[in-house]
Amino acid sequence: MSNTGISGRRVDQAITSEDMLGKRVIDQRGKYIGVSERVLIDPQTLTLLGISVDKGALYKSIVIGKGYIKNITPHAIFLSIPVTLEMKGMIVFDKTGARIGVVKEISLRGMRNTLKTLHVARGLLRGTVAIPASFIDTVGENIILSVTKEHLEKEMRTS
Amino acid sequence: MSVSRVEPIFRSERPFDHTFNLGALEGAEVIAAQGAIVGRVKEVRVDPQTLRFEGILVRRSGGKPLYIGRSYIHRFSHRSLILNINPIVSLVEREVLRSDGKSLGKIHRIVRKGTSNDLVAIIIRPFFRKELVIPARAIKSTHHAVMLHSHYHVKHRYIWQKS
Repeated sequence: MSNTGISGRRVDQAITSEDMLGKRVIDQRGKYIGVSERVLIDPQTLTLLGISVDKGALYKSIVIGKGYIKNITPHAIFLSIPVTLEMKGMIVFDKTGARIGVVKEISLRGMRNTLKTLHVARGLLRGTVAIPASFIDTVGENIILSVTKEHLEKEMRTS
Repeated sequence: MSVSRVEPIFRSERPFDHTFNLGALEGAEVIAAQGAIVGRVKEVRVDPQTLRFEGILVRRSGGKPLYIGRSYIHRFSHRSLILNINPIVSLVEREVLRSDGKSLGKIHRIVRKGTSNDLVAIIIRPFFRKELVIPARAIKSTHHAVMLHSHYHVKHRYIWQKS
């Protein structure tokens, strides 16, 4: 049975909100982010704003803007970016491989995916250190900085 | 040890303060190029003929120890050692995703070029299906899950089907 409607355009290729919900969300590097739980629509323009991703019972959901969605397939939603917020919990090493600590908080530029500062917990009674994005060399499973631990401590003293 | 407390006896070799105590590397953390923790240095191996440093033996929390040649070492300090590779043997048990996001299963085995870190193929053993051999050229990225290129079409065969 064919659908009748007054959409004004062909909708054969369109997907529905049901096609988007409950799908695995995978970032640019193949990392599993969570499951899409809500589709967000602007009430004024009626355009898609993004999706909300459920990360499990222990973590807060995150909202991903439509500009960061690469494509939607029958099995998953692919993002065009590595999600910066996923850096939380990563271990930070200095240039020589010395362990600095674990990422506790992340400061972003506005509401974009651009990292401003990492707040790294250095262990019991040693407080946290704020590391600017410019000091980061590699982000993969963990983070490797482009500076040494000594350089970082010197920067902290001067700032 | 400070230079002042050492009596030097050498000809054209590097002076004491320009050298590194390889023994101090034992127990140092080994970190892959992308930051993954590979294990800890168990032994430092030297060529008995040339006396040249050849590689390290890495103790891992799971699996066989790894012998990593010095050409794969990026830099080291007393505390840790950074590789210039992500050892592909650590891909075992990683999930493999088709370009449309469908999971094909987990990597069962890796085929490498000799003893190098160059990947030839990955082997998946899906449930109720025959082993699936995926060549390295079909792989798009291996950062987290192994992602395949969209042009690669997987042909599944059930165990009761002929090859």
